[in-house]
Parts: sequence; C-alpha cells; structure tokens
Amino acid sequence: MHARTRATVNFMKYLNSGNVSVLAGEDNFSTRHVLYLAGLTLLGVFVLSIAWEFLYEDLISGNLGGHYHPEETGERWEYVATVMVFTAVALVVPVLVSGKVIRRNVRTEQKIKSLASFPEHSPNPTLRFGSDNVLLYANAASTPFLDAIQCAVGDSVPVAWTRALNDLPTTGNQGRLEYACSGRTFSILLHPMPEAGYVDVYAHDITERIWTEDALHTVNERLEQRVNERTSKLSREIAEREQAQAALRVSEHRYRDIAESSSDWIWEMDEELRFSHYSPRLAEITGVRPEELIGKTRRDLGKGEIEDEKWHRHLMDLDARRPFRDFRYTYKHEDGRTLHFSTSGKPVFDEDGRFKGYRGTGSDITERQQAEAALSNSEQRFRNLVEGSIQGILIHRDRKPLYVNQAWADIHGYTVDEVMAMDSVDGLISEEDRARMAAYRARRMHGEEVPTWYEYQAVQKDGSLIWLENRTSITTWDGEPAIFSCVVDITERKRAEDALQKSEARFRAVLDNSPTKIHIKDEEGRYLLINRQAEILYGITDAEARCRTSYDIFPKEVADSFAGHDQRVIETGHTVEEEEEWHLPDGVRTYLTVKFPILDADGNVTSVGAIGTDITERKKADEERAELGRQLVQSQKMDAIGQLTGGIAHDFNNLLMIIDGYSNQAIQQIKRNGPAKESLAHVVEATDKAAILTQQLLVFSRRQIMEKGVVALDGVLRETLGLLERSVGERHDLKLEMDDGDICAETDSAQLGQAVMNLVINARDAMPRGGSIVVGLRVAEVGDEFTARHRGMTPGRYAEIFVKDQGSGIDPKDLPHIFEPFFTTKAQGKGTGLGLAMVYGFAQQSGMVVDVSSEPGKGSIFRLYLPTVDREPEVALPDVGNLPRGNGEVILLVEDDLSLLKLSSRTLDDLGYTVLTASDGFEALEVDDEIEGPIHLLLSDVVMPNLGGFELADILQKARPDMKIVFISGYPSNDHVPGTGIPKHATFLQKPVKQDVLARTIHAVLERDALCLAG
Amino acid sequence: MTTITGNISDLNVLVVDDSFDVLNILKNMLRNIGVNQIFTARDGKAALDFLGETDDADMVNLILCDLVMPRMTGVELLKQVRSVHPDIPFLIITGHAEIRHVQDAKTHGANAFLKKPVSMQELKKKLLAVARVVGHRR
Repeated sequence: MHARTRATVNFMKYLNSGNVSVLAGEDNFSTRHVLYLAGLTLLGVFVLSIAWEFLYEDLISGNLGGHYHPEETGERWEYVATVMVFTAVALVVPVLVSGKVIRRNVRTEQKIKSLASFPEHSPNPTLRFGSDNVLLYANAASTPFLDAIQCAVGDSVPVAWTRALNDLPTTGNQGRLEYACSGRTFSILLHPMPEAGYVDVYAHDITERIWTEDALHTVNERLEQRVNERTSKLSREIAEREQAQAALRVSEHRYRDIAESSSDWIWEMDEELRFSHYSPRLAEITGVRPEELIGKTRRDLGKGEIEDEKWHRHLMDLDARRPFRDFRYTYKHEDGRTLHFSTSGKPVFDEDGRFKGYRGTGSDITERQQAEAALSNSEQRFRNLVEGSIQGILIHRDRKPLYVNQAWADIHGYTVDEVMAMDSVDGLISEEDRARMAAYRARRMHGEEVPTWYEYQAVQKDGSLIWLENRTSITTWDGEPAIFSCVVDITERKRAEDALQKSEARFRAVLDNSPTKIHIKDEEGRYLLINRQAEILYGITDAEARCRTSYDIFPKEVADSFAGHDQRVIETGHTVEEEEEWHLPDGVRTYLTVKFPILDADGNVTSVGAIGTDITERKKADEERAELGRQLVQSQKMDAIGQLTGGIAHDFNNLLMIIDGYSNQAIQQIKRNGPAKESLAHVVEATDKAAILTQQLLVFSRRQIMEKGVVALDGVLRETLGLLERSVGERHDLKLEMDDGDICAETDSAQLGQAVMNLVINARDAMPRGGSIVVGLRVAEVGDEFTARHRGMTPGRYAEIFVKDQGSGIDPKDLPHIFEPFFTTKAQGKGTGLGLAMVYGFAQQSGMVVDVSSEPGKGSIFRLYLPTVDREPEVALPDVGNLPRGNGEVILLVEDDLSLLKLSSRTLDDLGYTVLTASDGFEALEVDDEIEGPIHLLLSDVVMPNLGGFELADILQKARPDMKIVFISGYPSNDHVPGTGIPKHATFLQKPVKQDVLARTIHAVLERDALCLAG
Repeated sequence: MTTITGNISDLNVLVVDDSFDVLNILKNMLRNIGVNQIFTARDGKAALDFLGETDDADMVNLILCDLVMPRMTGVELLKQVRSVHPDIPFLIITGHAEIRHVQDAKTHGANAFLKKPVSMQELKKKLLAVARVVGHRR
C-alpha cells in the first residue's frame, strides 16, 4: 500500500513535470458522430415544428390576419421572427457540426492506416492514442487493462494521462509513468510518434513487482532503521563508555583519594590468599609498613585474641571464597595498645570465573569498640537498673505495652509475659481514674500541657486497688514515639498519709477541743501552731500566728515575759510552769502555763510547747474551798458546841428540875422560916436563873421551838427598838433607817426581835462612852462574791437588817470566836457570852445569814440576811384609824395559826381592846383560868386539834354565859360548819378575815349586846 | 377565876418519864395540885401496857410524858395512844425540846408542852385546862 501510494505520487510528479508524453488516439468516428448529427437534426426539427405549431394555430384562428390589432400584430411578428431564427439555427448548427465531425473522421482514418506496425500480439497491453487523446487502438492483451481503467477504443484518454499526453508532442520524448487502478499497478511507457500523430502506450502490469519492491523497500527501511538504531546505540554506548571511562577515571581518582584519605584501609589478596596490597592507611594506624604484610596470609598474621569459633569461621569463609563482613580482630600495637580492627572482603573472580583473590577494606574500630563496650556497659547498667528497679517501668504506645519491667508486672500482680500479651493496660487503671488519665492523653495529643506526675489507683490481678505514683514522659521506641511511665507503689505511703492525716486531724481535734490554750514555737520564738483556745485568747488565728512572734501579737512587756519563759526552757531543757494573768474585757483570767521543750533525735531543743490552763475558776474555787473549809470548820465547831450545849442543857434542865422540885418540896416540908428555908429559896432562885441560861443555850443549839411566819420586818424592828429605847440609855443614839415599802420574810418574829435586841445591846456595850447605833432595814441584792463567803447562801434578793455601831470594833483574832457560847470580851459579870451565840443559833435555825464587818477603832456592822418573800405579811398592822374602836373590852383570841394570831391580836389591841391570846383550846382554858375578870368576847378558830372552837366555847360559856362568841371559820356560814354543838348566838366570819371586817364585826357584836342590855 | 367547871381531882394522870427523880417530883407536884389518881411509867412500852390492860376508859384521862426517853420517845408513845384514845389529853414535858420532835408531837396531837424545869404553877394551869375539858366531855 505504502509502495503503491509512493508509485502514484511518483507518477503524478512525472505528469506534472511535463516529461510524460501521452498518446492521443482516434475515437470510434462512425457510430458516435452519426448519432451526434442525428441528434442535432432532430433538435432542429423539433424546434421548427413547435414554432410552426404555434404560428399555424394563430393563422387558423385568424389572429394572424383578420382580427388585427396594431399592437397584437406587431408582437406576433416579432414572435414569428424569433421562431424563424431558432429554426435557422437548428438547421445550420448541425450542418456545421457535421462538417467538423467529417474532418475528424478523415484524420482518424489516416491514423488507422498507420497501425500496420502495431504489436497486435504483444503479451503486454499496448494502446495507441491519437493526437486528440482518443484511444485509437488496443491489442488483445489490453482488455484487462482497459477494464481496469474503464476505457475503450474511441474514448478519451484518462484524465490522469491527459497532461502527459499533451506534453509529449512538444517534448518528443518517451515518457514513463505508473498507473494504479483496481488494485493493480501498471507501468506505462508513452512512446510518442509525432510524425504519426499518435502515441503508443505500452502498459506493463507491475503490481507484483511493485509489491516486491515495496516489500524490499520495507525491509530496506527496517534494515536501515535497525542499522540507524544500532548505530545510535553504539554511539550512545561509545559515548557512555567514554563517559564511564571518564567517570571511572574520576572515580578512580576519587576512590584513590578516599582510600588514601580514609580512616579505613583497602587490602587485596591474591589467589593464594596472600595479602597483595594494603593502602597506606594501615601503616598509619599500625606503624607497620605494607611490605611487611604483603605476601602473608591471614593465618600467618595469627589468631590474636579472636575467639576460636569466629577465627575458624573466618578461615572457612576465606577457604570457601565466601565474602565476609565485619570480621573483627585485635592487633597489639607496639606501643602496647590493643587495637580493634574490623575487615570485610569479597572474593574477586575474572571473566572466566577464576578466583583471583580477595579485595576488601579494613577499619580501626577501636574507639567504636570502646564506645560500643561503653554503650553496652551503659546499656547493661541501665538494663540492670531498669530490670532491678523497684519502680515499675512501662513503655507503651496507645496503651499497648512495648516494654514492661518485672517490678511493674509485680506491682500489678501479673507476670511480664501476661502484661506484654495485653492489648491495652487501660484495664489496670481504676475506673475512677481511667477517664482522668484518658483526658490527660487526649490533652497531651492536642499539645496541651498536662501533669507528668500524678497519682492514680491501679487494679491488681486479684481486683484489689493499689495507689501508684506515676511519672510520664515521651520517649522513642523503635523509632516511634512512645510513652514512658514509671510507677511506684505508694499504697502504704497513702495509708500512712491517710493515717497521718487522720492522726493529724485527731491531733488537731484534740488540740482545738482542748479547754487549754496550746501553742508551739520554734527556737526563734515564732509560732508554729496555736489551738482554738489560744486563737480566742490571743485574738489571732492559727494561720495568722504562724511565723509571728509574741512581739508581733502582744505588748512588749508581755512578750518579754513570754520570751523569757521560752528562753529558760530552751536553755535548761526543762519544763517551766508559769502563772499568766490575762487582762481580758470580761475580767482577769489566770492561766497556769506549762512550757516544755520539744527535742529532736539528738536531744536538742527544736521548739517549745506550751499548754496553758485557765485556772481562774480553779483558783477561785480553791479560795472558796478554803473559805468553805474555814466556814465548815467553824460551822462544825459551832455545831459541836451546839450539840454539847444542847446536851448539857437537856441534862441540866433535868437536874434543875430535880433540884428545883426537891428544893420546893423541902421548903414546903419546913414549916418554920429559918436559914435553911431561905437557903432553899436561894437554891430555887438560882435554879430559875440556871433555867434561863439553859434556855439561851438551847437557842444557840438550835433546839428552840420556832414559830415562823411571814412578818413585816419593819414592824418587828420598830417593836424591838421600842422595847430597847429605855435599856440603851441616854448616851446612845438609837436610829432606825429603813427603805420604803414592806419588806417581808418568813421567820420567828419574837426570836428575830431577840436577836436584834442582843445586837443592839452589844453595840451599846461596844460604845461605853456612848455613840450612835443605827438599826437598818433594806433590800439587798446579794451576789456570788458575797454568797461565796457564806455556806448555803445563794445569790438573790435578801432583806438586810443591820446594826451598826461606832465602837471599838472587834479584834480580828476574836472574830472567829464571837459566836461561840460564853465567848465574851466584856468584863467579868457584864455579859453571859450567849448573846451572839443566840443570834447565830437563831440565824442558823431560821435560814438567815449573819455577816460581820468590823474594823478596830471604827466600829462594827452586824448584818442579818433573810430571804424575802412576796407573800402578804401574816402579821401586818392594819390602819385602824377609821375603824370602830373598842373600849378596853376583854377578848380571848384563840387561833392555832400563830402569825394570824399575832396579827389579829395586834389589830384588836390597836382598836382598844384587851386581848388574851391562846394558840389552842387548852391554852385558852389556861388563860380563862388565869383571868379573874370578865371575858367579853371569845374570838376563836373553829377547827383546832384536840379541842375545837365549838367545844371550847361551850366549856367557857358554862362559866361565862355572857361571853359573846365570834368564830372564824373556813366555811361560809354556820350552816355549813360540819359537826354538832354549835353554840347559840355565835357569829361567824369567813376566812380569810380582813382586819377591818373583823373590827367592825367585833364592835357590832359587842355593841349589839350593849344595845340589847340597854334595851 | 370565877367558875371552874373542871375539877383537878377528877384527873387520872399517867406520868411517863425515864427519870425516877422526875417521876417522883412530878408525882409530888400532881399530888400537891390535887390530883388523886397518879400512875407512873418509866418508859413508853410500860405506859402502853398499862393503858392496854385496863378496860376502864376513864382510868387515865391525862397523860404527862417526857419527850426524850430510851426505847420509845414521847412522840412514838403519843402516836400509839392516839390510835386508841384520840381524845385523851397528852402533855409533853421536855428538857431541851428537839425541834423536830416538838413539831412532830404537835402534828400528832400533843395538847400542850411543859418545859423542864416544870414549875408547879405552870403544871397546875395546864391541869386545870385539861380538867375542864375532861369535865365537859364527861
């Protein structure tokens, strides 16, 4: 195909160049030209017939002559002329064309005549074209060719040949061209015959030849290509080889330079394994010239310090022509050093595979060996450290263990293999800490800073929890980042810490809950701790006190004192006790502070501890206890005296009774007056005096019968002072000072009066030259301090009765004894020594307290303290100014309530009646017996033990029928009074009886009878 | 005294005292005052025995008793007597009047107290009052 295309191109070039002559042969004249003329003639006839038809219709229709219109007539003639012209042309043109054709045919006949020499029987197609390029003739062999070019005799030459044929007459040269059609290629030889006016064309089918030529051409091209390629390759190879040789030369220089400048050396062995070459470096290292080694084998050089196995293996490698690497051996330098060499070599073979020896390098690895040894030692040491460490070491990546030491495994209760088999060690972290540590890892991954030291709880194999302290860092493991974790089991430490914490908490709790103040100072006097009590006392918190000294907290003089105590402890190493007085807003507190040294292991004082106990109360209590003890002793003494005197009085009374009784009997039995009878009368008289004394002794011994009731103390005092005015004497001024208002107390008013009387008499006797005696009454609020001095007394509101004089006072040494019976500082015969004893006894018996203040030369004050009562006084003097008064009428008042008896008695007395009192019915009868005169009115309680009011009245009325009767009853009227025997005409008053009602009733009852009598 | 309805001679007095001398003196005193029937007992037990042995309710209509006696105090005797003879007059004679005993005696119905040494007048006055009551009740 390719060849075909190229042939066509060449043919076209040939045609274009004008070198090709084309034979124009004559066409088949007779057939085609006759048909052509006939056709033209028919066309002319056809045109003429149409024109005639057209004119004939007009002539027939008359349009042409009869009905002539100038305009239409003109047009029709124009038309007829046109038709005529056409008709002429139709007749002339074929004639002209026929003449041309005839001439051509003449020439064609001439040509045909020239065909006498035409190769009719040529096996190759042979054609003859006329000068008009018409095929004039073709031999028999031309048929396939003409079929191929689709041309026949008489046809024009193919267009492709036209130019070549046209050029041939001018050039007169033969032309050759190739012509391809219908898959075949022909070689066309144009042989112009100008004189003959034709061109012979000899065609030769060269298709096969073309194909062969193409094939050859292709082969040739390929061959050329391969040659070119090979040539190019060779060129490249040559160039490369040249480059390689240049590079080799460079390399040789380079390697030579390297070899000569290298720290290593190069060696070679021959096929006999004898060293044949050493680079100079070896000589530099060993000091041995290469010549000394050349020609020697490895065996010749000796084994040196090489292990046998390595040595033999190396020799076997050499013998087997095997390459070897890093064969290490030692060399003993002449300077004594042992050098370590490493050598590698490979066998060298020639192109035929024959062993030519060894070639290799050697290097001095002494330093490396030493470094490796050092590193190895270091590694071993570190490995030993790691393996033998009690700290657990884990290297992991993404929690996957990469390395774990025995300690880490042991801590967690696993074996090393078990840990290494784990995909993750997360499971060995307690759930509580797992999230926290995961957060650490996440934050670390984000580049955040996270703690590298922390504690966490790990889970052991048996599930128990342990505390670990973990230090984490980033390390490298197999070239990749990994986490280095070092843990220590701090479970015991945690427990200890926990225990310590609890211990400290307990210690702190004990400290803070201690009622004592506690602090510890260092040697410099700085507080290390203070407890809560100390905080309160010092007015500073523990935190604030830390590192401060006493001088930072207290005034200098106080701090000096404290520092001095501390210094004594430090210097002596002994405990020091000091009493400290703290002046606080609520008073002075006393602390007993014990300061003690705190020693270190060497016995040196490192700090000073202090425990201060508030002994204020204790001191006070001690003082009170001492006072109480004193009081108790005094009290017991007085009690003992009381019991003694009481017992004496009892027996003494019995004796007196006997003495008195027998004396009286004797007096009665002695009929005549005489000295004996007088003596007995003295005995009886002395017995009476003795009885009075014993009576006083009984008062002191508190064996006197008390008749207690609520009394208004001012009344008692007035009454008593009224009795005393005469006995005190003119030289003494007796004053009464009283607070306003009623001050009531429950006591025996008679004995109280007697006590006051005794005190006033003593006051008088203390001022023999006269003076002022003040008797007072007031309400006193008694506090702790006072009650502390008086056993059994409680703070509160008391009625205070005092008797104050300006006398000589009492000698302090006498004070403890003044209440003892028969103790007196008065002159012989001036006093019995029982006055104050009675006061004391009465006070003790009635719950009073006697207090004495005395200053020698300035006088004394005796104070009686009675508990006040809020009740109305049972013995109170009413205002009787407006009440009906009596006129000395005798009233027998019988009331078993003594206070009421006294009250009513006083009221009636003030109203002008003569009052006889009895505390029960029997006593009333006694009174009745004693009274010679009339008793105008019986005022009696109804209900009394043993002898009630009704019975009493009945008894009395028998002797005194005129006696009026007024009963005081708890019942509203006599109708309600239980029992029988109610006396007639009795008047009843209902309890409680107001004194005015009583006065009016009595007055009315007495008046009524008077009226009755009058009436 | 204009009229005395009670008569001392009507009194039958039981005197109780652990002291022979006191008993003797009191007996003489009572006799001098006019008491005809005088019984004595050295202690409370003897007194009770005496009272229990007699069927006559008026055999004794006044008891004169010391307060402090061995084995049985006057108050204890008073309690025993009152359980049987609630109305019989009971006079206490005491030498030192132990307060609690006196108050106790009052509570249990002692009619009067006489302090040693007892005077004849005081004794007579008490007896007269008792005699009137006794006479009234009779």
